[in-house]
Amino acid sequence: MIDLAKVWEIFITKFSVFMEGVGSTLELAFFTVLLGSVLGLFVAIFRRTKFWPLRIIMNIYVAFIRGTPLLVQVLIIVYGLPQLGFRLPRMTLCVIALVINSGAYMAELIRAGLQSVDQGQIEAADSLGMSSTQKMFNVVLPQAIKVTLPAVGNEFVAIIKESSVLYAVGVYELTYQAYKLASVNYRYIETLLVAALIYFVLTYVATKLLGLLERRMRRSDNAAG
Amino acid sequence: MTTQQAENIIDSGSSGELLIQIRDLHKSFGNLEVLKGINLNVHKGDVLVLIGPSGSGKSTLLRSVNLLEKPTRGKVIFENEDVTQAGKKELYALRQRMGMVFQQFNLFPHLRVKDNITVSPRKVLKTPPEEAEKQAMELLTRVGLQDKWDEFPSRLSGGQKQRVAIVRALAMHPDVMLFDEPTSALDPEMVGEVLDVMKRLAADGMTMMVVTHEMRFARQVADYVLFLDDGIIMEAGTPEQIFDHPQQARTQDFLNKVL
Ligand SMILES: Nc1ncnc2c1ncn2[C@@H]1O[C@H](COP(=O)(O)OP(=O)(O)O)[C@@H](O)[C@H]1O
Ligand SMILES: [Mg+2]
Repeated sequence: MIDLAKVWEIFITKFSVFMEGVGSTLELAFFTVLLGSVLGLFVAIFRRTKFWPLRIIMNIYVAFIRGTPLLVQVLIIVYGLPQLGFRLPRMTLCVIALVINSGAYMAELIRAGLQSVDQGQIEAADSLGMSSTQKMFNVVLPQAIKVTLPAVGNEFVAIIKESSVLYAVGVYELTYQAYKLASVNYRYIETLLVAALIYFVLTYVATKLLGLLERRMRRSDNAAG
Repeated sequence: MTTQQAENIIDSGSSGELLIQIRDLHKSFGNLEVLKGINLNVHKGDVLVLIGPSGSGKSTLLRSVNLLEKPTRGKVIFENEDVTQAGKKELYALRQRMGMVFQQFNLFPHLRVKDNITVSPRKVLKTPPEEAEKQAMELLTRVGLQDKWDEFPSRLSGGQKQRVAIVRALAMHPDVMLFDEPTSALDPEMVGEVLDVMKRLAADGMTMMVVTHEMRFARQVADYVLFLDDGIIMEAGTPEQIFDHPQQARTQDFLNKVL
């Protein structure tokens, strides 16, 4: 039987342990989205250059990351980098792994954003004598970013959930904290349910907030046409 | 009156100095030959109006002048520089001196009116922001839209958008303005306000190449009218010659349909 009273009791008595996990999870998600967007942006732009070797490398990177499990990528980075002499804090290694993963997905999102910019505006920019760089920064990117932003928000929510694979390398994120508690109190269902409910609240609230933000942005500048 | 054969060069004929020379211009999209040898001189201060059936190559001709389309053969010489041979940097510099206005306006939707107008003077010509804004406000006032300074394009009517688009092009101080059906996407009641701006521009001496179906405008404003048909200049002449005494059967057919 699942003891619901026990679920509440575990949540209350171990509140600080769970919150420590929540903190790490949000921190990971935040830095991953931030750095992953920057990485994705560069990759998306490099994939459009005329310099084909760079383009091929970027395509391979994106295809490889999207075609392999996140957990395997995490294990390679977290245990592999130190083996190669990069002795970094575990948390940093985890962020690196998540950023490399997320960057590939972000690159796809940003690429779609770049492609969504109306050809007519690119021609208008051309007709005004803008160089490729001026066109990119003044016309294409600002619009692409606006189009991509909702998807970046979704990515943040996705990473909150997906970062749970990091429990496998012993980072104190939410899943790890819950699992550690459960292996001491043997209340696996109740303890992990607490974790699941916290994840749900986090993603639910994040989704709602992002939706609100998106609607406000659209209203405030009304720049649809 | 001229009918184009082989190397016959259509000349807008005014006494102004030569601004654009188009020679043996060909353009194909795959197997489709859209321009089949255009030869044309455009003199400073002239207003050329291009008419012709849909698909005859009017847009392609206009877009070849500022190299939005790359010709497959022939050349376009603008102020003694061959546009078709220009390197990247030279091409940017050449385009800065040619303004273009599109059927669909193509304003930048993420920028306010003032920034739509000033972005290229600031970024491309490196005009100081205050100076760019001062000029933008002057131009905007001339087309009667000074109160739209802070608006986003989505808040403007079609006619207002097109007037802003004209101002955006003028802000670069171009030596020629290329108009590709600037009123075709407009509701009928807004056509006049845009044509008025263009008429004043013509009266101020701007060199213009205009693709349009507004025959009254062509008759009033054009120094020279070109009738394009199937990738060649079928007939060219003054508005009186083309509209009142067309020589070619194709021209007569076309005018009967549109007038
Ligand atoms: N980018 C393109 N790719 C393929 N065909 C094109 C392209 N642009 C124009 N065309 C074709 O070239 C012909 C002439 O087009 P256009 O110059 O736009 O004619 P007009 O402006 O006189 O209506 C049309 O048949 C059109 O379909
Ligand atoms: Mg056309």
